Amino acid sequence: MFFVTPFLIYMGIVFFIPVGLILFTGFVSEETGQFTFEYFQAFFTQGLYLRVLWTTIEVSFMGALIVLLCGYPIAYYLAKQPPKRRMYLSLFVLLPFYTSILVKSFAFVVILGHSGAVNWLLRFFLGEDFGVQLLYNRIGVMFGIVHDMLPFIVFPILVNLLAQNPALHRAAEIMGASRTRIFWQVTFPLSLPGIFAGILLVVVRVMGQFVTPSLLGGRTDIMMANLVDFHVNDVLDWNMAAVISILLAVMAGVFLVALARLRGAQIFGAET
Amino acid sequence: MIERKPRSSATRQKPSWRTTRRDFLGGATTLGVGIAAGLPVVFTPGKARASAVIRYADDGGRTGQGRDRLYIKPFMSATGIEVKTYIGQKNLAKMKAMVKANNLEFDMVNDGGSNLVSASKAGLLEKLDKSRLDLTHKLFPEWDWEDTLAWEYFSGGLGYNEEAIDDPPRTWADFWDVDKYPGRRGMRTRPQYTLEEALMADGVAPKDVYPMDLERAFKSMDRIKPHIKIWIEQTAKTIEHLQTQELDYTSTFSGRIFIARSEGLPLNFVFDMPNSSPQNVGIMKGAQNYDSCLKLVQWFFNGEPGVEWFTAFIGYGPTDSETMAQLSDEVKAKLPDPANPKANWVDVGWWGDNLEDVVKQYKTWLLT
Repeated sequence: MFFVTPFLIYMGIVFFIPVGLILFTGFVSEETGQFTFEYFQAFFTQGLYLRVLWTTIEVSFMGALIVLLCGYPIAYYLAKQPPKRRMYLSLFVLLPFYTSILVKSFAFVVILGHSGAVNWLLRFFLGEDFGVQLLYNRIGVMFGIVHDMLPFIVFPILVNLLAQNPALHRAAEIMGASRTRIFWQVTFPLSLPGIFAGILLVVVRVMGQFVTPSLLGGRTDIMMANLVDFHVNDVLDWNMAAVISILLAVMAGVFLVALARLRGAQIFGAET
Repeated sequence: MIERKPRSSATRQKPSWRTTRRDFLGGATTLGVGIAAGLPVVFTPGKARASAVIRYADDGGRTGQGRDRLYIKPFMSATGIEVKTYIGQKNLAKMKAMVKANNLEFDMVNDGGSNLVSASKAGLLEKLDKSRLDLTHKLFPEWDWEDTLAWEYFSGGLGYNEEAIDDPPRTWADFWDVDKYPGRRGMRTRPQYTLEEALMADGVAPKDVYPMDLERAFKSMDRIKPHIKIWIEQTAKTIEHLQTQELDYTSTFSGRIFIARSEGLPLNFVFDMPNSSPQNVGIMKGAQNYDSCLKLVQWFFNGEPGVEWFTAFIGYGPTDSETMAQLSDEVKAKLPDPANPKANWVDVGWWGDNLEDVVKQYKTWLLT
């Protein structure tokens, strides 16, 4: 406990005090200085906020699901590699981290855009009039999120797969189970804590995103964090900004608790 | 020295903050909200209050470097006043936090007119002592505020890629006519300029745009909505989409188009239907070197560098008629003429009063 004191002091100053002030700003009226629910009431009675809230939830869960579908096979493949090779390959998983979204969004146009590689191929094989809209809509947002979030799902699952007891797989094999059956009845159920931990990380991170959706999304892809930005910077309504921030934090918290309940302490790796 | 007058017109005015606890809360709340929003908000202590230096906030970038070379350096040698340029976050939130914490990081700011008019409404700026400014040849009487001054204007309007499009729409009504002009269109996710375009497309004369008939504007927007390929959030992206030919034409700014042209990109701007906005300067509330700041305000408004500046940065125009008269015809041809009846002059005061409601209505409209 003694050794974490400096960190606790640091967190107290740069995290807990500001968070306390956000709570204060969300619940205390700027006019009267009294405790109030008026800002929360304003949030829940306006169609815009509720729609954006729903979009945020939709994008985060949809994103997490697609990232999982892309990330699980990668983790599974990596787990099967010899350690040295795995280390090299892991670096590739981290590659998206090193590029800013502003640069990536430009690169995406070259591949997915109207005159990009994908559409060029489609036109080449299917005729001049053919084309698919892969950017500036929900599909574009998903491309961006998968690109950003892949490491967050690959590594928790990879750690879990590596920690699985190989004896279980051998036992299943000896008993004559097929590889598919071993996967679905041994490997996959055992990897659920890794999956949940990964999904948790992705959902919570995507909930707070706004740059990727605004660069790659369409007109309906407005996130809660966009509204925080708008209220803080454009109209100086810091009470509403605080309310939205609090709701985002609460949503993330509820999700965390629900998952923890569902899987018990397993999520944090205690019983893998 | 300067009287604080209550501003009756302010719709978003907040009560004045008295106690030091609240001062602290103000600053710390920005920090907190900033962290929550993932924005980097950095607080550094202000310099000694009594210094004779002007701390001047600018956007930086290409135009910022140009201003440094053409305005700031000559100002220093002409007056002997030292100017320290601050380049960093200077949005409304930052200004509010600085004024509330009574800890200014800059004394003077150069920013878009709508931002500074909002700052003025929120009581963040000092009143400009007009008796000590020479504004004899000021153009645009409608851009007139107590505590901020328009020193140049810039124009929004239609940009297009010359390689893809020979004949772009020349009126907003034509831009709305998707049969006559079938190209891929972009519009902005902000209502400023966009709703003006919608009204003009629907036949409203530029002089009758304000106060805006929102119902009519949104009805007009309904007609173009299904034909917009990309809704663009960031201004820089308008140029990028034209460059990569994701779009054939989009609402953008002439200054950006001409910077892109000077870099060799085949982009052009339609001058027949501009929406022009002021770029302002203002002095922060509580600035200690008010007199020096006032001199810099004057320098921006009609100082000698004007001619060279407006020649180097095509698309930006002066708000002083004498500077305007000295510009070459070639430069003037690329500016919306104050006499052109098809040019709209954005009423940033109207926007300041209505911003929050209209943005909410617009975002809701975008979502449906």
